Amino acid sequence: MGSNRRKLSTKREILAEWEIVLRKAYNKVAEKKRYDRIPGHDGDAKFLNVADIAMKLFDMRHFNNSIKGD
Amino acid sequence: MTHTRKTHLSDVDITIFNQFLETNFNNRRYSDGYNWTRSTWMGGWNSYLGTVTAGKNATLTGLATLITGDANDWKLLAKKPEVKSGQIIFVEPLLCKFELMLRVKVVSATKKFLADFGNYQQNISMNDDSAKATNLFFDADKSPYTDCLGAIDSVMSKGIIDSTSTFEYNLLGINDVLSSLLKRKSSLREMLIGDSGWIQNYDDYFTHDSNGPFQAENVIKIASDKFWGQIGENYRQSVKS
Repeated sequence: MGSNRRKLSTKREILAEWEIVLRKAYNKVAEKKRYDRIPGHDGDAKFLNVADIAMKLFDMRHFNNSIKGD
Repeated sequence: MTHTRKTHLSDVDITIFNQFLETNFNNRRYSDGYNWTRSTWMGGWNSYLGTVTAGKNATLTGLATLITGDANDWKLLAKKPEVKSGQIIFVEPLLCKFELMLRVKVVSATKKFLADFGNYQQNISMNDDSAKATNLFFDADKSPYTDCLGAIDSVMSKGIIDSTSTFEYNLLGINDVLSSLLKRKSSLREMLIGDSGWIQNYDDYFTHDSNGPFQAENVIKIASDKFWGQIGENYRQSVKS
């Protein structure tokens, strides 16, 4: 079980339809055409820094809902 | 392949606004419900650490408005909106809701994306703000150009704009969304809707086409097995498994 998980985590995943797009682009510019698997997904996911954006919004909205004291 | 975004507000107006905040933040009184102070919040992918402390007359409806923009989201925190002064609240439920809002809007933005394929290019004037510059990529009359990386920038930015407002987005001063993205190890299956991924082409692609945009494809997950990427086609053809 553990070894299988390690194998899965090190093996690059490939999206079949996107592989076709990338291979087609490669074969269009390359002198020799290739049909082996592309390297594929690098194993990372990226998304917005939600906590950072939320903190900035909080500070902004907080300030906008305040009035200067005497 | 260079990717730059010129914004008029970013450097000057944001600095002025921040200075204004610093010099005026002390000795202020807050409208009822909004009197909260926060800790530093951190986390991502539906897991967050962070607290707020209630001040006088603070309410959970006010807190929800400050974080998600929707007063009704107080129900994610407790059964009653009233809190005592000094009470500490964990904000993870509100941050998770805000994350969900952003993810939905990012995915929605992929459907509205209208730029042609090419090196990043947009025609903006010095008077255009960040939100307007982003919205050009969703305007059928403007036809700017971008490659798949620029498309990720635009779609992520649009997700923020549509989750907040153009006014708030401009004040946030996020000039380079791409460099501010958080990263974690994830398989394609584990990626959440709205996550961005990088699909690499053959290693020697650049030896054949040094300026080639297809060294890799930057994609956004829009469904359990569907990924969107900018390849200069209509939306339907830009979504692949």
